[in-house]
Amino acid sequence: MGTSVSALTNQQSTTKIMNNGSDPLIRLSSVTKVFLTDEVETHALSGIHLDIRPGEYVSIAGPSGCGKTTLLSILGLLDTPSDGSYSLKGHEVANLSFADRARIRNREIGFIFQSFNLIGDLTVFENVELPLTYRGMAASERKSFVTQALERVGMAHRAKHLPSQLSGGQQQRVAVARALAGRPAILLADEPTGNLDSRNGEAVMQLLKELHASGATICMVTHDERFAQHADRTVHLFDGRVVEDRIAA
Amino acid sequence: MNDLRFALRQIRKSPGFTAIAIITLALGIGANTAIFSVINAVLLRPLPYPQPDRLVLIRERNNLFDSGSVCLPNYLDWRASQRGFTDLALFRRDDANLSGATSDVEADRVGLARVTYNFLSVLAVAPELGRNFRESDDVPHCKKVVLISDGLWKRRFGGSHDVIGQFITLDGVQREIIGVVPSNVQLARKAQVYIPLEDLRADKDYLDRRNHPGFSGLGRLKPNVTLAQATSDLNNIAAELERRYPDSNTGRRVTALILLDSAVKDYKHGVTLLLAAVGCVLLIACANVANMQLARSLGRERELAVRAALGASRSQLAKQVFIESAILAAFGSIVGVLLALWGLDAIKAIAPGSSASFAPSDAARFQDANLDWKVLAFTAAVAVGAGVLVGLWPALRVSRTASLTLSLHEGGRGTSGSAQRQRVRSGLVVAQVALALLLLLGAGLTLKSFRNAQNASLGFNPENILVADVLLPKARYDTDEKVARFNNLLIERIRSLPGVEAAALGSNIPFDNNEWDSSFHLTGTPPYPPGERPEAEVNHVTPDYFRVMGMPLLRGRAFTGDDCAGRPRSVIIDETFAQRYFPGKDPVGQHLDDNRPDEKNPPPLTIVGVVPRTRNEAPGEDNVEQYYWPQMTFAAEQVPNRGNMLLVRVKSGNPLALVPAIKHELQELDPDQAFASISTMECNIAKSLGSRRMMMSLLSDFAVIALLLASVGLYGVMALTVTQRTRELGVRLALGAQRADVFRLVLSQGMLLVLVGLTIGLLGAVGAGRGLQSVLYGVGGFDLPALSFALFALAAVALVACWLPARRATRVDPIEALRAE
Repeated sequence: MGTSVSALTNQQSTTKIMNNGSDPLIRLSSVTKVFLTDEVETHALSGIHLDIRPGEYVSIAGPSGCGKTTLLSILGLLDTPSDGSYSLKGHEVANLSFADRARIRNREIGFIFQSFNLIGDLTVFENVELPLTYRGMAASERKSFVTQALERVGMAHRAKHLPSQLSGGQQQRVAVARALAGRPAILLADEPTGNLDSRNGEAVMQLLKELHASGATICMVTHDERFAQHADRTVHLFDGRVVEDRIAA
Repeated sequence: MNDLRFALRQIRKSPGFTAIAIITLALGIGANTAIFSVINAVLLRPLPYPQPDRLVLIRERNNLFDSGSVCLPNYLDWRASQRGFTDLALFRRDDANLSGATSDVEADRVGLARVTYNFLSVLAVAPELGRNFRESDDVPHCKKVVLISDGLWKRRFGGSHDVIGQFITLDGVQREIIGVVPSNVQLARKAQVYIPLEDLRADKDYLDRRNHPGFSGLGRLKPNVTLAQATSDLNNIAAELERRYPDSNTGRRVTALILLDSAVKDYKHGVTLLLAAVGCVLLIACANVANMQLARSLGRERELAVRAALGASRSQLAKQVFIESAILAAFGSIVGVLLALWGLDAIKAIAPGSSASFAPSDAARFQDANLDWKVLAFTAAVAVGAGVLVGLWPALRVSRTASLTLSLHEGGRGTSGSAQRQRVRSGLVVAQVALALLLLLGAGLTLKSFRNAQNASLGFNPENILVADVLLPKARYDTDEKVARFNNLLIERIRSLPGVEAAALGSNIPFDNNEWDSSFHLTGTPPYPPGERPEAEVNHVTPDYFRVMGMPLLRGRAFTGDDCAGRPRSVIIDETFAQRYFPGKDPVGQHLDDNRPDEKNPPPLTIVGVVPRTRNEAPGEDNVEQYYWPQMTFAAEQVPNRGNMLLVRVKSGNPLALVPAIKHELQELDPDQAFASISTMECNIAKSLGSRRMMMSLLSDFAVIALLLASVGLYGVMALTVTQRTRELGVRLALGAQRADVFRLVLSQGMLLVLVGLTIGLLGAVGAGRGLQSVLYGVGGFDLPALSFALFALAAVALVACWLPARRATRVDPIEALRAE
């Protein structure tokens, strides 16, 4: 397990790879997730097969309760499947320990949440810096990464502000910067425009598009068809199953 | 560094929480450290002698009492025959008039220890200057020598090494200073001068086995000999002495205790109870800290989940939480140390033996209590540990996948984890309320007990009476005539002072820390079997004694000038004596035989009067009062004593204003004499209640602290509940609930917790009452008024703690509440 984890953490940048049959970055095979509460079984996901290749922009769409968030949680190693396999960069990660999953999550996955989830007592700079502190990066190097990330999203001028001093759109930009700062293998976005008005939502979507154009691999959960079409490929879920996997025209 | 910066930011952001957490920790740590330090000093710290656990205090016992003084002949026989000790010594605490240390210093009363020559050797202590006693210093008619204490050496002789070979006069006898006793010698109640028995070894009174003049034995166990073995050995000797001397030694055996145990036995139970009480305070403080951390953890759950999502490991999350808790702990500990220091001073101020308290000075170990850093570390670890562990809980819990994902995504609030936390918090509050009730009950019971002890019938009027100790040296007052003459002249001079209503002398007056009892026999009745002669407390008084004491004569007459030497001997008995030995008949005119070893077939005493029974010591304590002996009073002129208490009743004002005048009169009579223990009767009575007062004060303080902490904890839980239920309350109001309905809803939730806590506390009160029983006087362990007071007080404070959040709940704006999310 140690060897596989360190092998995964060697990657420093993502490159855009067309869907030309290269090995997938992420491969889910027959992934199932069952929740047990008060003796009631809830099948959130059933037999999910999903490949995401480097450089792809995938949206996961579906009605409320179809399993989108659960799928994203499994992809982000926040949760583990009840059955099936999950391989990230060719290494099986489905049943790693919490510590190992945290390490991989820190280095390979960047999260963007609907409710931003910035820490209110940290400045913009400190919020973006946070994941870098967990990997033991030197202060000077962290500063460089954070500055680049903030400049990338156009929020470098607000580095010393607190989240409460920013608008919703600005907070989401900072969240994107935080996700980018560690140069992860994939960005996972859970309804990134859900708490934004249409103008700010469009702005964030445009930002994600630009990141994808520069080579980022993105997997986005959304219930909004307009935003789902921004992606290269849309996977539709219904009652925990993939009912459609369509490449955008 | 980031974690430290963030922690400080969090702490600054919540000043209210920070202040309450620090105060709570400080109270728990400070109170416990202060009490533990006292316990360590009083109960646990070994005595300052080599191998102190081998030192044994030896007393005599019989069927009437468990611990009585040792008579000299018995001691000599024990020492000659015993096999369990390396040696046995004898000692007694007295007072003496010291004069002549320097020419310009007036006579002074000092504590005197009368010891056998081997006293310091048994303690394994050598003088810090000069030499120890030798056997040749402790024989009749030897050259008179003295050891002085370190304190006297420094005070009177400036610590000069030239003191060896100098002379002081003790009770008119010049003695050569041969050495200085180190300050760590605390036996004989920190005497200032030590002299051997010397001439007492040839004194017929001291050689009479019936006479037990206040000595105690001191032994050092031989290696590999247990206390039980040594005691058994002495009791075998005592049995042999009983066979040889049935008249004096029937039923007399030995009681032996390790020296430390004998020193602390009067305080052990009380101090242990205080330990239990302060343990309750610590538990309440821990519960409060835990509750506050749980409340904070609710707000931090999402933050911790975000950190975990960004890749923080469990240890990284724990470290961050720990740093914050550690900072609070550090501040709490610092304030706790300050509280401990202050608390320790406060305890010493009210403890028996302090100058500010009113108790005998035989509890010196209280005054030696210092802040115990080991104890501080322990209590800090407990209190802080509780907070840290609880604070770490959400950090560790976030690794559970369900909580992690639920916390991150929308709708993650209101989960079963939150409900579990609420149950835990409620449980902690219930526990706090229960413990606070126990402490309040304890405080109420000891308060009532103290009042009962204060109001216990005395049998005399203590107001406006000055008391002072007078001791005439045998060297210059070696006949009854000289003693009687001095006593009469003293009374005459004092009586003629302006403002004096009456003056008298008594040898064993109430609350003088003196015990004097003697056996007697009803004349004309069959002799009692050996060892079964009844005992009575005895007092020798001048004629105006009963007038000074405000004691009415119930029958017969008081002593007059006719009750003097050469006239038929009279005795006045108390009503207990009359009821017990002359039931249904007039005792006046009846006869008693007393214990007069110097006469063969002495004439009987005639009972000339009956007076009320007086209380001579604090009620309910482990003292002579528990035996409820009757009392006999003799005329001082017929049985003159060199050691007396002077009693002066003043017409008005503070009796202590007379002190310069009576000192002057004494000096005029004999310049080498000095009064000691000058006080008022009311003051002496108050001193006798010192232990009770201390117990009551401390338990009351702890009860107040517990009440405060419990109410803070309850308020915190209720306030958080209102915050968490804001949406629900908004919905209720939107659906038509009145504000009063919301108020009642919230209040009843809080008072339900209080009710459960009180119920559990009541169950514990049964056990607590039993535990307190031994220190209570005149009140049972389960006293309804005290219990009602505790319940009412706690319920009232809890109501206020619940009322405030309930009032806040009525101010919820339904629109704002439903909009939130």
